Amino acid sequence: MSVLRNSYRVIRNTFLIGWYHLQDSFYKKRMYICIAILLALMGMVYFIFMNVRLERNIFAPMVVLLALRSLAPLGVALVGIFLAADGISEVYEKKQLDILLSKPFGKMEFFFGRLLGSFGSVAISLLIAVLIGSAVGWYVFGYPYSPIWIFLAYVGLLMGAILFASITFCISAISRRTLIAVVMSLAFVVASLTVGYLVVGTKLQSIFYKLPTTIADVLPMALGDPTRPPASRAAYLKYLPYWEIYTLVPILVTAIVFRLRDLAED
Amino acid sequence: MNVIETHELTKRYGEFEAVKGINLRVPSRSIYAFLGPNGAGKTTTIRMLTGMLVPTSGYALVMGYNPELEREKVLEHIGYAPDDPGFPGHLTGMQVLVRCARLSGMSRSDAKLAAKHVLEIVGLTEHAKKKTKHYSHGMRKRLCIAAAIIHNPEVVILDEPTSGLDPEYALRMRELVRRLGKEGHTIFMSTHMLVEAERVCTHLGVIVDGVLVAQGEKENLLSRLAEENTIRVKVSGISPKLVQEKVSELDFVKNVELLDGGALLISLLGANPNHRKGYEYRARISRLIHSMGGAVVSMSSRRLSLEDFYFRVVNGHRNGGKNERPEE
Repeated sequence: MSVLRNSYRVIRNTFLIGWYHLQDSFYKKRMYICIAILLALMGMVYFIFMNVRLERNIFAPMVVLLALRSLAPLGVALVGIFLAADGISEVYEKKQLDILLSKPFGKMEFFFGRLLGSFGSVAISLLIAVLIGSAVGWYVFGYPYSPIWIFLAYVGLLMGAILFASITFCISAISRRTLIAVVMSLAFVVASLTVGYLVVGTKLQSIFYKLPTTIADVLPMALGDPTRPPASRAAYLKYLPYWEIYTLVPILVTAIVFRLRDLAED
Repeated sequence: MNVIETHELTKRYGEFEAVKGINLRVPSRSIYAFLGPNGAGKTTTIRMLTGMLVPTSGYALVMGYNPELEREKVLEHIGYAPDDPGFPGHLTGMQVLVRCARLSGMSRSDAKLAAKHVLEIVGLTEHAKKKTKHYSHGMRKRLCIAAAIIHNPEVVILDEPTSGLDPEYALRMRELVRRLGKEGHTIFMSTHMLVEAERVCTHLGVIVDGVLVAQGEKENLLSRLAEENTIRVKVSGISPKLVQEKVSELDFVKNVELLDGGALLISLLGANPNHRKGYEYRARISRLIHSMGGAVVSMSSRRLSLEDFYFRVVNGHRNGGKNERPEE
């Protein structure tokens, strides 16, 4: 009975912390800037197709998917990085640590609660951008793109964003500084893109398919493209293990470090 | 019964030892002032008591629980109001408190009731719907205390509750601390504001450079020092220098200091000048001066203030290791 009560308490606290963190993110400008960037990227695709007659004829039925596709990997990387960068560091930088962590809940409830809140803000920002962007595409081009495939493309985008968000969150938890989390995560993205560029067409090309930017790039198409569902499902399953490694391993390692480390700063 | 106990509690950062094997004893229902200069180790100690820092060695017991091993249990029984806390600026005072109450395990309706109650206690009811970014420093301090007591903890730990407050707010804060003490909370309050400690506390602990140099009931500590208290004597018709020499020879006199203006500051051994034996010593000094042909113009004694006590133990520690009362 006490195990059940304890489990309920842990789950309740974790979700409460996550919910409060998510609520707070709506009051931050960066969330709206991220949505604006995503919409601008999709708008660019629409603009190009509106002005290139030939391309429009060929791609019009798929234009919403192509616009969504334009968000990967850089758009989702930016959203993941900027919305998760203060996941833990915020409480240190804004001196909220003592007041928040003097309440009766554990370190892990705090860690995973903040992680959930960060992921929540990433998911909501992307959802808003995808919904608005898709609606605009539909209105402009008049070709309905199935909501199911938009949803699947959204899941692919979200997975890409979560990949970068989890890495950034972990850096934020370890460094306890938002700026360091942003800079290191951006450096990680640049490094991944650079390595990808260098190995394509060489003997080491297999590395390219394991890079985080490639995985984030491929997942929305793998999930959201109705023209090649069998192939896309295979591609999805092929990339999923790498996504899991990039996402879950840093979280688990950081959770252990966070648990062992002093909560307060030296 | 002690609600807070530490046993050789130590915190080291590399070579630097922030807290050096302290043994705190905070009795139930006391108002314990934890004094010390900046950087003495007060906040580090508090953070070990709240489980935010893990001791390098030794351990603490708060309400019988070890914060290192049973942090959640400890936090169920304590409320902690840190110095200079941060609140999400977009939230109102009420919202902050409801969050704190919910995180302490209360239901939504109980949380709202508790928030209203503590806002009333700290005198912020009028500002409940104001965003915390518009709160003054004093209001933030009070909100912080409200957040600390919202789950009605047995022990309230306050870190520098009056630092940065104007006299009016400082007074209100002292009244609030007294009120909490009267309501049965044990208050553990770190401060370097000696006036507030002297006025509200029942127990004292002084930490200097990570070492707990004095601890106990306030009255006991102060009267212990008063026993070696001083008498200020002004004489006429005789050289003060001569009086200094003769009085120094008396067996109950520890030291005689000649002050600017010719007055003499006489430190007594083993007697409080305000007690019976002290009066006897004063009479003997008076008789001696008369026998030398002089007259006593004035003779006054003063009980040592907390400030005197504090500086004695702090300087005593810094000058001579762990001596509680340094040689003057």
